[in-house]
Amino acid sequence: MLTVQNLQKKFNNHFAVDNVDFSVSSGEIFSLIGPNSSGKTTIVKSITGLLRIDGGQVTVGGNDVAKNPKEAKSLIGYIPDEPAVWSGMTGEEFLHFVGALYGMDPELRRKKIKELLPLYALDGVEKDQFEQYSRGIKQKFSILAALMHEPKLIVVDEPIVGLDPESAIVTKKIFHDFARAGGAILLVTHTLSIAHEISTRIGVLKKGKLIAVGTFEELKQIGKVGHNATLEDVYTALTRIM
Amino acid sequence: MFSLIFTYYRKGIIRYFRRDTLAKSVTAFLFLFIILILALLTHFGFYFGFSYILKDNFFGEAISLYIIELFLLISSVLVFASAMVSGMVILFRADDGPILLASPRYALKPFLVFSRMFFSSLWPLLVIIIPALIAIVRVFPLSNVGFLLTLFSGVLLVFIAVLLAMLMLFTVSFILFSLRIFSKRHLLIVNTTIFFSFLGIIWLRFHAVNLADFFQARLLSRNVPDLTPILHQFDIFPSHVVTMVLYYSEHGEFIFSFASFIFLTLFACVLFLLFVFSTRHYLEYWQVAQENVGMISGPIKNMHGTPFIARATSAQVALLLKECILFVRNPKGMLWLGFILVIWGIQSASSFFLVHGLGVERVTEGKVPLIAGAFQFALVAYFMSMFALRFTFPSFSEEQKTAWVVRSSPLAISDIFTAKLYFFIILFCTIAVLFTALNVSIIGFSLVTTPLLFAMVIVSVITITVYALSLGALFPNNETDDPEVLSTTLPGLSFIALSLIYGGLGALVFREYALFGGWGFVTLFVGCSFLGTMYLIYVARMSLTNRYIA
Repeated sequence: MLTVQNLQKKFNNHFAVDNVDFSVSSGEIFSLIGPNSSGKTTIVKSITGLLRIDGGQVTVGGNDVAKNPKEAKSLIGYIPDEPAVWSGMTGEEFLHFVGALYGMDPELRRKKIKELLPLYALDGVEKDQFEQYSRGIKQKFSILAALMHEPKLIVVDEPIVGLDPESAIVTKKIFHDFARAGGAILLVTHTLSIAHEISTRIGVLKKGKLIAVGTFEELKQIGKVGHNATLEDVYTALTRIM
Repeated sequence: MFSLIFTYYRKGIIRYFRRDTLAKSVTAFLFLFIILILALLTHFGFYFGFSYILKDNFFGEAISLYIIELFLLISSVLVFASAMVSGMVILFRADDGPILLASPRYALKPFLVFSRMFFSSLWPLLVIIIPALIAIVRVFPLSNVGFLLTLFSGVLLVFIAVLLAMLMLFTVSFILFSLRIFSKRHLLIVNTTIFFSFLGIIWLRFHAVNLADFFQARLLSRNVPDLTPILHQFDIFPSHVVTMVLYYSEHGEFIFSFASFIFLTLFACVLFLLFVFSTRHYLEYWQVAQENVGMISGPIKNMHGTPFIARATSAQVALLLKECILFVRNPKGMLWLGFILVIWGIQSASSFFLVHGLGVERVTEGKVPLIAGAFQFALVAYFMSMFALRFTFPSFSEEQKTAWVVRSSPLAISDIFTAKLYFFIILFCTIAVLFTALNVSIIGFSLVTTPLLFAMVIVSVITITVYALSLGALFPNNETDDPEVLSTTLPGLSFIALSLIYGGLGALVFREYALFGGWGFVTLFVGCSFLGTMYLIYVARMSLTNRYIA
């Protein structure tokens, strides 16, 4: 579903992302982990078309993001790390607005909103303005917005920041169900427990380079750590030796 | 306390110049240059104006006094309104100084807001008052002492106007808080009602004045008219005391001038003490004002906008509706819109007084000077530039944080530009046409000039709007999303400078047509506006598309 080949992105002659290669298949949850400034968010923004890439290629469902952005973006649902939405808009309006941007007709949007709101028990608060919402509720609405147009790929930047434990469980279930139904998920986080818990494969980023990719078991072998090692141990070992 | 406030401002200036020092120095230089031009225009406007008026032995002094009274009254009303609008927003905003409010020095906040209001209101007035006073010194016999006394009185007037606005805010807050109905929305409604009631009082006091009687134009037995009716007309306003300081100084009556100044100082002191007293419960008001933030099902419900956006049948329509909803639901923006409309309303009201205030000798259609049309056009261009500077120019920079919603969607970025353009053009054209119609009906233009005025107004509104939006799209600001700060950046200043020059040129074209006829200049103006508009749209859309993938 998602193929990233030799992705490069420079800021002021400094490579924020340097020759990164990976792919995410349908039904897979792929996590990218790495320390601050390792290029995680830059990769996400390059895939979702928020940044121009300086080299390489990103395709979504066979559509080149640079050459056929409309087709590629139609397949993506994006959940940013900071759920910044216009404070004067209500949750319901936001969902309608996002649905309309993806070409959904009004009736379909209404149905979908009715279906999505109960996932986080948001029925009844959808007519409040965003300025009244806590960060967690804003995050929940941005997750629902990404699901509105039934994308094939969800790109998530820090999925559970600001969510209470119950909502975090719901979010993980949503992602699992989405992948089980044939969707692909690219998850970017530095919350290692989440990556460990829900990912099919994990990629480790360091200074803009993808230093290791594989299942948790494969990463343990690459990192040369024991069988009882946690992802924290693997991560520490990989970022130290590579 | 004052050293802390001083340090706050000093560090703010240092922080401002720390990054992009060269660009910001150029901005500061251009800003000062524009101020200098404005000051020179004011000075020569007053100098030639007063010199011309004083040529009339009978009316000279009376009309000069009337102009000074009116000028000071309007200036103080504008300072009051501006402080009220800004104070209402800044005093109770969650993101404005929460660290200070969480500290033991929280009581400083109202004083910081007050000083911010005072200084931001003072400098534009000084840019006008000082050159105007120098013009008065050149025309009237005003001594250095009189000059200084009047200048300090002007500063005190600004101080009083800001204090009155803050006092009103705190008094209304206290009453609403006592009645347990305090909220930002109630504060806005009550204060706006009080302000418009105040404007109503001014209207009642002025609208029935017969200027011929007022200036005793038919009083042939005297060399100069009696000034008492003029002075009496303004004596309930604090601005009148400043006029009296100037008036007594002009006539060498320094004891009365000093007495008026002392009276004004005492009045300011009393108001300041009341202000200090009124701020005691500020923290409690602020706490209540935050209660609907981060709390679902609070007092603000917005059922009205939802059906509109729910019916949007395409992405473009949804974008347009989004602009409408967010514009209407931006209280600060709406207050500023109202504020600028009030200024425009004052201008229209003054046209009404001028035309209808002469009773049976009122100005009729045939006597309207041809230049009046050009003046109306210049006014529309000026107010539209103000609107565009405040709302259109910052619109791309304001949405930097929320841009991910649209930019990650399959919609082309140029569609955002188009939606914004449609929205602002429809809004501004509606306002411009309504006010032009109002002024045309008050003044009574001829059947020839009226259609041309409307056509040129629409062309110029479209051009100014396109220019503001394109400039905002070409030079988005990553440092701030505050529209007031964005207005004073280099692109903002260049927008206002060029936009006012464009308005001035349009007025000249209109004047040429009105005086000499012929469509040459009009065609050239419309043609250039059209080509400029097309070019700006092309450049802005290309720039947006090149900067982002789609």
